[in-house]
Amino acid sequence: MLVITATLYLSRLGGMPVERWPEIHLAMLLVYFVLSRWMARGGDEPWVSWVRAGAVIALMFSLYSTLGHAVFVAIPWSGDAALNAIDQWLFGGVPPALRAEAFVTVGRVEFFSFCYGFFIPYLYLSILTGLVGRPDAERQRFVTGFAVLYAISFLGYLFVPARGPIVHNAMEFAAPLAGGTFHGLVVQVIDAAGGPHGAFPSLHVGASAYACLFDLRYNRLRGFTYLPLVVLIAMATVLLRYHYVIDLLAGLLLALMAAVLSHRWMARWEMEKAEAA
Amino acid sequence: MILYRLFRLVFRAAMQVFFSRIELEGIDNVPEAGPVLLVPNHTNALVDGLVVGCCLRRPVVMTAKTTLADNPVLAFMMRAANVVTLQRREDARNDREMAKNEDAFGRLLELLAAGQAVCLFPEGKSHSDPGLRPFRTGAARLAMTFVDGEQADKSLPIVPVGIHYQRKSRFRSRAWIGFGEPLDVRAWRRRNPQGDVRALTARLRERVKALTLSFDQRSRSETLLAAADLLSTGGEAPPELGLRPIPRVAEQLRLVHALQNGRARLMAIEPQSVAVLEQRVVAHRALLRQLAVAPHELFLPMHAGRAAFFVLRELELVLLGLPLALWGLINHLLPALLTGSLARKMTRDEDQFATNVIFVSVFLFPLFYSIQTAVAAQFLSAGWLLLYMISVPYCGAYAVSWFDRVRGAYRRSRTYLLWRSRPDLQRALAREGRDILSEIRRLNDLLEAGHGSAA
Repeated sequence: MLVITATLYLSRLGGMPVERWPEIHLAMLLVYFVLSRWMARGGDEPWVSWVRAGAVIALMFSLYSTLGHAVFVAIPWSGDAALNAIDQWLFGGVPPALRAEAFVTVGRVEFFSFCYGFFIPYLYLSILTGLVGRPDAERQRFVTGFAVLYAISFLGYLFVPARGPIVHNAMEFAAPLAGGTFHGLVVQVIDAAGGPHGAFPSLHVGASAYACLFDLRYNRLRGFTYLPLVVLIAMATVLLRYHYVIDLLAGLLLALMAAVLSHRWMARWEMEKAEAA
Repeated sequence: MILYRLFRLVFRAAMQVFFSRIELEGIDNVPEAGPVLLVPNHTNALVDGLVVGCCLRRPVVMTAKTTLADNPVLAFMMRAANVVTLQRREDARNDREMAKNEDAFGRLLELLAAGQAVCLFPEGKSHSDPGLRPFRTGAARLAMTFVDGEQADKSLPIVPVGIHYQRKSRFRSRAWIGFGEPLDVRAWRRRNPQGDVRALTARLRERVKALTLSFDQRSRSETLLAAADLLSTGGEAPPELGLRPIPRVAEQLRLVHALQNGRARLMAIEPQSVAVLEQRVVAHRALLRQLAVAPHELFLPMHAGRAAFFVLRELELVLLGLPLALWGLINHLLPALLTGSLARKMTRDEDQFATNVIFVSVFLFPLFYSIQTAVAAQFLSAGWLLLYMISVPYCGAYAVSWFDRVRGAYRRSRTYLLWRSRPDLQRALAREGRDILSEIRRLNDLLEAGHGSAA
């Protein structure tokens, strides 16, 4: 939050037309700071873990939508060209989104749009089952992992602003994607959120992979239930042209990092707490 | 060695399907290298050997009765897995056959000298008795010959192994394997210069007994297991399905041991209280059985919000997992039915069923996979065929866990509805459960105060 707010103010000083975005982020930062102080005073009270979880999730969603608008007016460069070049290098000259055009049919676009859209209920259900009805230690691990994942991803959104192949390679595709109801719905939702943005890293892959990894550790059957969907979501992001493959790899790497770090940090924190007690 | 590793991989997969969970304890007691003799109890035929072999990273030389080699398929597998066969007195037709054991013993001594791990079942025969059977002297004789012989400079640890199955012939039950502290034969000889093969055998039996459940009567085992089940609930609400902490078999074993010790000592102080308590435990368990309610479900909270969340969470898995589970079921139904039917036909004793299921399945399932893949190859392109080949084992394994979960959810829902319709019954049974727990704790305090704690 601090990095984002400072960057937005620096952009204003640099003459970028950032409108009210620095103040909005400063206000969010202050609210979060006050909440942190309040939670610190609460110590080990049961409500603290719930407020912490609520605050992290609320901040995560708020920043996702505010950054979609603020970044492109605050940052004077675009990461699309570099990301596209990496994909070209990885896949022998032709980016995968362009290669995938050969496999595009109305049915496939519709199927993958359904998978892509299913990310939203999957994320909400994962948050619900990650927070409710489980021991507090596991809840804290879940929240910490999500916080790590989103915090690093938002830095990617901020400093590598990109709109994905659907915008960057628009002229290279033979035709725009044609689907049915589900594809229409996905396009409508993305347009409502300010059009394609936040390509690097892919949070569709990062968040779904993190939720799946968490479940594979703590609720194995749920993890195995969603594993095929997580793979399909990753494929959908490329086929529907919203992400470069390097975005997926970065998202997957972040998910793994968040899962490992949250587990280690919380284990250490619990040990210190037990020793202190 | 390659064949041994391949067999271990295949059998490990088969056992992970048959048992819902195999708990491991004391694995560090098995040296990673050097000679070691493993002596487990023997209640589940060939599965016991598989459990030991699959749980340890180092290869283990198994021993088996010679009659197993009469089956040509088993004979091939035993040769490939380096199994040493031993002639049992009851199977021998003449003295010449018994004399072959000397060769087998010589082979085992060579293997130990080469630093291998050898597993020998001192009970000699798999059984379904409630307690350990008398140990035969083979393991002790082998160990003493080893330390007294040419390998006088080498030490030989004997690791006692306890294997416990919740319901050994039931598909998706749980198992536990514990490796006890090793007994150094050379050190034992020094401490017991007069100690002979029988004394060492008795010592080994004592060690294995401490790791297993051993009762003099089946009815007593049921009473103590029922009391341990109740104790493990702690009088608290059950854990959420599929979430940790999962109740551990090891915890149940620890409780039964403590109860067994406590009971033995209490019989000298308060035999009347013990008898009354046992009657209450048996009556309480019988009522729960009649209602088909598990002990921890006694304390199921009747909270509407929690129930609603339970429905949401379980419905999510039931509905979303249904296509995967159905695909798994369709592709495995035939080999699964055939395995069950063949295993039932081949089984003459309870302790053979799991062995038969596992051994039949490791042949039938790959055979069916091959046939299905060959048929699918006729209709599918390479990409779809690859997807099919990945999806079949994935969905098969998924279906097994999914059905476990659906069964658990169904059972818990049924109990919830039962308690909802008869709250007075839940209150009465929960009160009796808590009273029994209080009485066990009171008796434990009594022992603690005067005679040392039991639990």
